[in-house]
Amino acid sequence: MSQVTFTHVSKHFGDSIAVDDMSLQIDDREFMVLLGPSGCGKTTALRMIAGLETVTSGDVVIGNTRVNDIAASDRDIAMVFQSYALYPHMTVRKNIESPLVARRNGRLNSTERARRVADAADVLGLGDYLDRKPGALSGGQRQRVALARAIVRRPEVFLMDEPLSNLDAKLRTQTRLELVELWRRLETTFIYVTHDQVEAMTMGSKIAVMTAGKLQQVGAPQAVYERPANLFVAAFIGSPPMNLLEGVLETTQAASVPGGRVPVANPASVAAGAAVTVGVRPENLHVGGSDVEATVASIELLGHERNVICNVGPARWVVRQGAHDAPLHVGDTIGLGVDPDYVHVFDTASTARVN
Amino acid sequence: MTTEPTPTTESTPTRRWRNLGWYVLLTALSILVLFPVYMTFIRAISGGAASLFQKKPSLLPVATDWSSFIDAFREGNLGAPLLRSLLVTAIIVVAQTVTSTMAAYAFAFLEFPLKKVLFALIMGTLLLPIEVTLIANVQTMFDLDLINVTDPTFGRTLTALTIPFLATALGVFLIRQGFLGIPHDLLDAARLDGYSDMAFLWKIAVPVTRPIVGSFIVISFLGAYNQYVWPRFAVKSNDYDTIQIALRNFLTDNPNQLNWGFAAALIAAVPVLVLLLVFQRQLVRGLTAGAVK
Repeated sequence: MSQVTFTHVSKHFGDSIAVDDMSLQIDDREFMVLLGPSGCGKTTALRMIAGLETVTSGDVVIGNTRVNDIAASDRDIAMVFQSYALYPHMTVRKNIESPLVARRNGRLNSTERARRVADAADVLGLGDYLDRKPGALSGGQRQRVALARAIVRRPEVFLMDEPLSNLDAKLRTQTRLELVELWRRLETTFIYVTHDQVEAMTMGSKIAVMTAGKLQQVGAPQAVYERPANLFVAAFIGSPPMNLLEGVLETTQAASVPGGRVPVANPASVAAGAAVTVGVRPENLHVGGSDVEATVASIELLGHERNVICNVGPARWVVRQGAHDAPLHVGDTIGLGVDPDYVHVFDTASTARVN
Repeated sequence: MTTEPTPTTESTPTRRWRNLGWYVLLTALSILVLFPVYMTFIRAISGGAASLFQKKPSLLPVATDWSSFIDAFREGNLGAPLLRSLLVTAIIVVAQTVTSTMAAYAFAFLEFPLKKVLFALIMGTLLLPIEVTLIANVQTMFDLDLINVTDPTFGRTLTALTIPFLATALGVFLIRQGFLGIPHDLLDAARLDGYSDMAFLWKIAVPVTRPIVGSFIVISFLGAYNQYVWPRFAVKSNDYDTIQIALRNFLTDNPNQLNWGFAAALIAAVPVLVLLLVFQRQLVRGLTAGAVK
C-alpha cells in the first residue's frame, strides 16, 4: 500500500510559515498534483514527503508508517527534481544505477543491477545513451535519465518537482503524455508539483490547490474546474481565467452587478442583500444576450476561436466566441448572455463559494 | 537554421589592436618570469668559468658543458634528498587534501554549533605567516622530542617535517568554495539515493569539484616541496636533509663550482616542472572556476 497522508502538517522556517495545518489523503496509485503559485508551499509539502525537510508539527504517513523521523533514503520513495540533479561526472548508466549502489544494506548483485538499469533505460528509450555523460545530452534526454533513476528502484511513491519546467513547449506537451503513460504502466502513486494549471488539469487524477501554505481544494480536475471552492481556486484554474465581478445578491437566484443582473440557477446559501462576487467562465458567456452590458476593449484571434475582451462595470471580462461568429469591433457596446447553470457565487468577504 | 553572428559593440580592428596589446604584455611578463630560469640554465652549462662572476654576465652560454648536471647530482648526493623531499611532500599533500576536503565538507554542508566562529578562526590562520609561529612550533617539536639534536632519527625527522602541515586553512577555504558551488538538488538527490555523508563526499562532491581539488593539490605540492625555513629547524642531521637544504649545503661546500649549484637548482626543480605539466589544464580551470559561468 502506498497511500500518503498528511495530518495537520505544518512547516515553519523561522517566523515564516511554509505549510499551514495541511491535511491531505493521497490514495494508492493516484496521480496527485499539488498546484499553486510559487511560494505557496507545494514544494515544501513534497520535500516533507521525501524527507528532505523536517516536519514542524503534524504527521506524514506513507503506507501505514509515520515517516516524520525516518531518513529520506529509507522511505521507499524516488524524486525527480526540476534541475534533474544528475551526477555530472557519471555516465547515464552510472546515474541510473546510483540508487541501487548507494545504499549499503540490501544491495542487489551486479547482474540484477544491470538488468534493472537495462529495464529502466528501455522504458525511457535511453538504450543508446547509456555510456554518455549528462553534459552530452539534451534537456529532454536528461529528464528521461532523471526519470529512469527514479523508476530503477521501483519505489512505492514517485515525487516530481516541476519536472517539465526546463523543457521547451513542444517537448513539454509530449512529455506530459509520456508521464501519464508511465504512471499507468508502473501502477504506483505519483505526487507531482507544478504551478502550471494546464499540467495539473491534463495529468492529475486529482489536484490539490494550495496558496499561502494552505490547502484550498482537493478533487478531480474537472470537479475543481466546475465547482471551485473559493475565489482563489476560481481565478487560478482555467485559461483564460474565470470572469469575476463584485455585486449584491438580489434573491438567492439572481445577483445585481454593475451593468446588469446575473441569473443563478444553483441557489445561493446566503440571504438576499449579501455582498457577493459572481464568477462566469468565458465559455459560459455569449454575445447577444441581455443579462450584462459590456464594451469591447480588445479582440484576440486564436484561429479556431476568438477571445473578446470587454469592460463590464469596473472589471475586464473575456468572452469566448467561435471563429466564424459575426465579427465585433473595439468600442462596440454589446449585451452578454450568461448561462445560469454555470454561474459561481462567492461570498466577497470570506471568498468561499456559496452556491 | 542559420545563426546570426553575435553583434559586438566594437569593430574588428579595435579588437585586434587590443589583442595585440595583450600579447605584447603577456610576452613581456613571460620573459620576466622565465629570465631567471634561463640565466640559471646558461650558468649551469657554462662550466666553472670566471665570467659567471662578472658584473655584466653574458646572456649567451660561454660554453656548453652538460657534465655539470651529472657532477652536481653525484657530488651533491642529490638523489637521496630528492627522494626524501618527495616522501615528505607526498605525506603533506595527501594529508592536506584529506583533511581540507573533510573540513570543507563540514563547513559547506553540515550544521553544527559555532560553525561560523570556527570557520573564522581557521581562516584567521591564513593571516599568520610561518615566521610568526616558527619559534613556538620549534619549541613544541623539542618538547615532543621530535626535534632531537643528539639523536635525530629518520622517524623523528620525518614526523617533525610533516606534522605541522597536515592541515591547511587555504585548502579548507578553496575546497569549501568549490563545494558551495554544487547545486543543492544534487545533495538532495544523493540523500534520496542513500549516499552517506562520506560516500557523497568522495563519490560525488570531490569528483564534481575535481578542478578545484586538483589545483589545490598543485598548490599544496609546491608549498610542501619548496619548504626551506621549517626544514632548516626540523632537520638536525645531514643524513636526513630535504632537497632544498641539501642544495643550500652543496652551494656552501662548493663556492668555486657555482655552475654545479645552478645545475643542482635545476635538478631540484624537475619534480615541480613535471607536476605543472601534468596538472596544467586542471590548474588553469581550477583557478578560474566560478569566475565565468
